[in-house]
Amino acid sequence: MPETKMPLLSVRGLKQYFRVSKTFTVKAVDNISFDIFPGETYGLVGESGSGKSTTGQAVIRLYRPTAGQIMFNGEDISGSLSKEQNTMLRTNMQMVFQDPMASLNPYKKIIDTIAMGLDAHFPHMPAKERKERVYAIMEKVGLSKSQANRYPTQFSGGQRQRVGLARALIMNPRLIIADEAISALDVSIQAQVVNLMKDIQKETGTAYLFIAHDLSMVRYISDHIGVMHLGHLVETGRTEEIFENPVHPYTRSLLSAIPRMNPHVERDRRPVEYDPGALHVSYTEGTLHDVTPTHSVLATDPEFAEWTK
Amino acid sequence: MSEKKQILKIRDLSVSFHTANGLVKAVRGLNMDVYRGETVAVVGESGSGKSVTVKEIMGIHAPNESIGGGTIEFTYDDGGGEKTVDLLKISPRTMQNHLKGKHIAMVFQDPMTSLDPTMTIGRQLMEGMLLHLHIGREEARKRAAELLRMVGISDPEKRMKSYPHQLSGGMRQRVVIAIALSCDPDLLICDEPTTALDVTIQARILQLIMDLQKQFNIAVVFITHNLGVVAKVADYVNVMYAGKIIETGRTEDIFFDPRHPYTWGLLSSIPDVSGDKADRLYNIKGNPPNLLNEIKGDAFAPRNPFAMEIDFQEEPPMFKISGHHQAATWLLDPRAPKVEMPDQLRRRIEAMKKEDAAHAGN
Repeated sequence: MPETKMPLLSVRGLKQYFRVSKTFTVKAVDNISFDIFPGETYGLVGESGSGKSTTGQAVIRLYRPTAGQIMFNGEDISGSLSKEQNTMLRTNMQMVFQDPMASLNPYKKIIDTIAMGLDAHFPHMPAKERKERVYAIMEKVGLSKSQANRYPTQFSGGQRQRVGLARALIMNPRLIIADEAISALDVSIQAQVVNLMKDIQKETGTAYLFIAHDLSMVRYISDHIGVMHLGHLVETGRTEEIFENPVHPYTRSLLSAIPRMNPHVERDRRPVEYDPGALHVSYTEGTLHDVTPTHSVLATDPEFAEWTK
Repeated sequence: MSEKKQILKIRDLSVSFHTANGLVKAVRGLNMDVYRGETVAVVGESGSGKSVTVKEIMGIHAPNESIGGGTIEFTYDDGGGEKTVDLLKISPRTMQNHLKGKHIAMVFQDPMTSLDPTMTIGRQLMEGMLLHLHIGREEARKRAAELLRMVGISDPEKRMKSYPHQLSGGMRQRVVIAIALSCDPDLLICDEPTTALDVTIQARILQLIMDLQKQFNIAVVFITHNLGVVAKVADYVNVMYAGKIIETGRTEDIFFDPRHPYTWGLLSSIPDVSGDKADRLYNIKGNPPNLLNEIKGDAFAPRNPFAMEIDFQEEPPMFKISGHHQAATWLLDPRAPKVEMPDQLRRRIEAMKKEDAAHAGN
């Protein structure tokens, strides 16, 4: 049972605010809590502007969280980081970005891009060992070592994303944050990269925080799913629970918007509209209600009673 | 039903681009037919030539492109009876003054780049009408408000004074659609109109395009890489690969009886939410071909697990499967061995047929 395991990453009451002016603060992430267990995939979904990318960036500490606690690998990483904590965080947590072209340095050979983590943390590693470790990782992500001295422009989109994945994997991380890592790729290449990510997970036991807006892909890869809207985590649970028994009206609306592959069904499909104002849903007043021990939803008591009827 | 009226007829179109690395053959002999009142979807991966094709229809030419041959025949009524012109032969001036915006309109992927940030919505809406319809300002303003209401924007008089940045992405795309429809076009080209939008808004914009198409009985060419979108809007589907249409048919043909191995791969590489959660996604091995290189035989052959010797030597012709369904693969040759589609896809189609029976029942 994964529930009895210690979570690898545990986020409690995370808030990430950005002060724009004296009178205006953007509450990009507002009081969210979730757990990621070792070797599992947590899918974070929501529309653009819902705060899912900000959550990923706050977790890897690109920002200083406004409030809340982030426990990773048994250490609190939400405050000031000690030198040891910083090293632990920077080696054990890695990120893969959406646009592989924008996240790779066009002037660097990919061998140097992939070895960046090694250069930073093991600057005295012998050149031979460095090369061998890069080759091993390249093979793992399906690139041949003869391509090591090429530049990013010489690769196709799918191959570039493999380079990004290799760069993340070289430090043997326990958690990889994949921020829309496959959204920019073509469908046939998406399937390749997702299969590769699953294979790597099986082999190395790394966990993923998989941020995406494509729910069918998230369903395919994730063990747990969190649904975000306007900075709040409105529902979280195991993948089957979210898909078979969605409780929150926003989750239902999102699920109803997934295109179906059957043209007869798809033509008549009318997605459920969701307007929090009209439904009088207030995210700030809601608290997390448990549907099952692994499935919880943000609601006030009367809302919860109505939705679970 | 009355005789179908053909609006667009593309024959043997080929387009190449001169680049620093050599000649890129983006479109290699493409045929396509579009009839009034129907939606034709063009599906393919990036680089398959789908956007280049519609840009040729719209007369948007790049400085480094050269048209290798072919015709694009467009039939329209300019008030003095029906006319058929070859869009590749007419002068840019005729295109600009008489066709673009009036008879052929286009909706692009990103509404922010297709709207002028320095002009109000109202002015941009009226621009085309004043140029093409020869009507007065007041009438144009009235029509503009009407159009905005039609695409689902409330309080149109007030909205006409807004600038594009004051609207959300979905609203902007509605405005672009209103502009495209302002002069009653015969042909509407949509180039990935919903890709930049959120899923929940996506569905609403698609529904809007479908409703307006029925209302005005226009022909729509829909470019997309999303098969879910195709399932929703299209009557006919053209699957493109490496600058060629490799399978064409009614939407039912493509989704229930696909024949080309590339279509199989495309359909099965998308996880389906209504089916069982598969352990592994079927995927097409390798990458799309580099169009800088000469392609010998079937362009898909190197990625095709069922490829035969002939696939590497000779290009397959279009094999007719039924009156409306064709595919270009040697597997359909009577001499070819029998090949079944991947198991996963076959199971999904069976599930879809069952779903249909249930769907028809209620």
